[in-house]
Amino acid sequence: MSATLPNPAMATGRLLSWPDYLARRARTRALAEGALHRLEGGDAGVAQALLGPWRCADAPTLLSALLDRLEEPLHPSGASFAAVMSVQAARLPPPRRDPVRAGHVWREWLETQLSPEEPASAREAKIWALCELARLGEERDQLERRAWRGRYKADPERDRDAAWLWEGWFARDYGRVFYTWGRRFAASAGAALSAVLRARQLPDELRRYHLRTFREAFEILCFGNTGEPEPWREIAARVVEGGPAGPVAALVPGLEAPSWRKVLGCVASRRAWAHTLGRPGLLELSEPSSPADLPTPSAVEQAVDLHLALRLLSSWSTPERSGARRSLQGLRQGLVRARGRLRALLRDQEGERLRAALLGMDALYSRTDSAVRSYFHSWAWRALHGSLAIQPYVVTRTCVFTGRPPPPSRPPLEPGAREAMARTWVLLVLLRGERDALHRWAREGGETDGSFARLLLSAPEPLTGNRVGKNKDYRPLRARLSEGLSAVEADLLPVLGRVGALCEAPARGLKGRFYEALAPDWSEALPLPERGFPSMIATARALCAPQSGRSA
Amino acid sequence: MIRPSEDLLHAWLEGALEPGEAALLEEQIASSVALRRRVEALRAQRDEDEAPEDLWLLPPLGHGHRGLGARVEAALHLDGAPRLGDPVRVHLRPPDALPRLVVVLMRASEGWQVVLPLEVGERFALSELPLGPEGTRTLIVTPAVAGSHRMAVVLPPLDIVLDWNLPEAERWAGLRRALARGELPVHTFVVEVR
Repeated sequence: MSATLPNPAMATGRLLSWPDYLARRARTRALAEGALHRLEGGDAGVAQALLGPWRCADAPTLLSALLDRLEEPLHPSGASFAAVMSVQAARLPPPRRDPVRAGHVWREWLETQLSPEEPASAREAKIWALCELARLGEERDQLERRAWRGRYKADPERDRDAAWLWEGWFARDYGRVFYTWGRRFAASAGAALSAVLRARQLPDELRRYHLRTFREAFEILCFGNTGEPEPWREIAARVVEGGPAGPVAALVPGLEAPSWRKVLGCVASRRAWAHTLGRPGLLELSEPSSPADLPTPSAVEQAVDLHLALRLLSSWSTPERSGARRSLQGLRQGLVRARGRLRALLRDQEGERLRAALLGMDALYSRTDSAVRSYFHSWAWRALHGSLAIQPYVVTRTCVFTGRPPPPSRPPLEPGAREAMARTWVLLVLLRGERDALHRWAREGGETDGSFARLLLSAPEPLTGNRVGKNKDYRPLRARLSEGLSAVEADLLPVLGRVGALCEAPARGLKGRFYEALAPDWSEALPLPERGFPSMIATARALCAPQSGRSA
Repeated sequence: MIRPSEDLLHAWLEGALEPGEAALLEEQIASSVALRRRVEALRAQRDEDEAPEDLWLLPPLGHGHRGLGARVEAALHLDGAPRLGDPVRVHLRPPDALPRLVVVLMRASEGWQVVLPLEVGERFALSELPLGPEGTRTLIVTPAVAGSHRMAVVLPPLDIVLDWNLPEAERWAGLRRALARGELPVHTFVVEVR
């Protein structure tokens, strides 16, 4: 169910030609000027129409709180001000490439084309702010309401199947869910993980390895560990938020009184919310004492919209934060956070509301598939950033993601060359008597010092990742060894035996014989050791001895 | 227009973006020929990561399916774990009286591997295991290496057809498929020896 390429002729209905965009820009500006003029006369009617997509504009108290904020200083950047207000825009030649674009793309483009202009007065800055609020109100409506409609297709048979599975989750019917859930949705979750691994440009082989491990773990990852929120409930909450009225309106009816107390506590205590919504009398989300008192979806939407609009106005007191992209990002971030918190409340609350809300939805299979993809996409980034293991079964399996591929200047290696280098490096570490440190590092990572740290420095470049500043990135080497170290050691037993057998050899010519013993197993990527032969021979002998207590 | 990141495009191609974010990106793609070409190139590079077919999909440790119960019993030393060479008894509580084969798997670094039976002569029926007082059958496991061993017991029907001439991966394909469908009694457990 991956996305299909949009066709500009029929895609979003929001694409505009350059003349159409200019006409809309001029219309908005004229409306904003009219709105400000009327506001100065005490009439908020035009402003209300201009800011219509913001739900808070429907409530006079909230609209007035928003318009009051216009009185505080606004400092748009020269580029942003020019993009909205400059008359020079109409004189720009239409671009030859991409003649049809979305409004936010034109707006961003204009910032790069016009000479910066500063607002001549506080009044001009207010008009600019009203234009921007009107534009971003439409984006808000698009992002979190219209874009969510019509995305999910009903398929009666599969929808029944999905409902049966969800019943199993809510009944914690392990036997029902475990095998079927994976067959239905593991591939979608794997696709989301694969997107992240591809974006990080992991080599195909390593990506497939992680996908394989992930597939084994998928069902268990949905169950989650004790002490953390159950992932399947988070997926369920994501399904619910895909309701046709938009995420906030879809999540709100599922929340019970205790959850609302948390929301109100959050509004009162968090600095950002307290700053915007915490003013007495502004919000009508009173403490619910009975189910009838619970806030309505529209009241919550109004509150969220007011908060976001006020946050935007606050951010525009700094020129660097007034650009088109920055404002849109700020808006998106606020929306994602607000519904993320509502989703967490729905996920964590006890009772039947989540189940009822979910099972009441249409197109359940398509919605579940989409929620699984979105959940595991976020999960994959968390796993990646934390170098977190995909832990299919209690025992830790560390997967270290290496980030960028090696720079192109590095000549391609022969197949198997890295393995040979890794073997040689492990051999060197063993001969230098650092076997315990090697095992500890491969198992636990962490800081190293002394001889083993020096040995790490000698690891050939192809075994390590890109440098981070002056430091090598040893995660790829550790990833290679974290599971395969015992096998490498077993492979090295013959060469260790040959070296160990030199303990009876005369000191004269020992170096030559030592090198002869190493030769078949030594990669040229590492320099041969220059000194310490007797101790290396003794170490090799000890490692080969059956009483050495090797446990790996 | 700032170029959308590779992260965003890959996620969009896999349908992993939320609708709002996807719509925003779709508008950018629809607005730009260059971006459409870039997306097409990414799509062309992308081969399907097909689900591997040789995976053993087993329940998590300590869980069973199709009514198979198991209890691990080992001699405890002062440090709380059996020593290397100590027998570890796995008391299997069969789900029914059907004649069944015993297949034991162990988790290695590269995945689950059958450790018993490895050849036709090692095939044995559940009924050959000693019968306990509560109808349990006792399997004795003696790991050869110290450490934590993840193991599983599967009880397919005794008449399951196994072609011993096939390579191991193919020989057990039918059993793997049946396990993935949840059709066979299975139990996973962990054995720790020091």
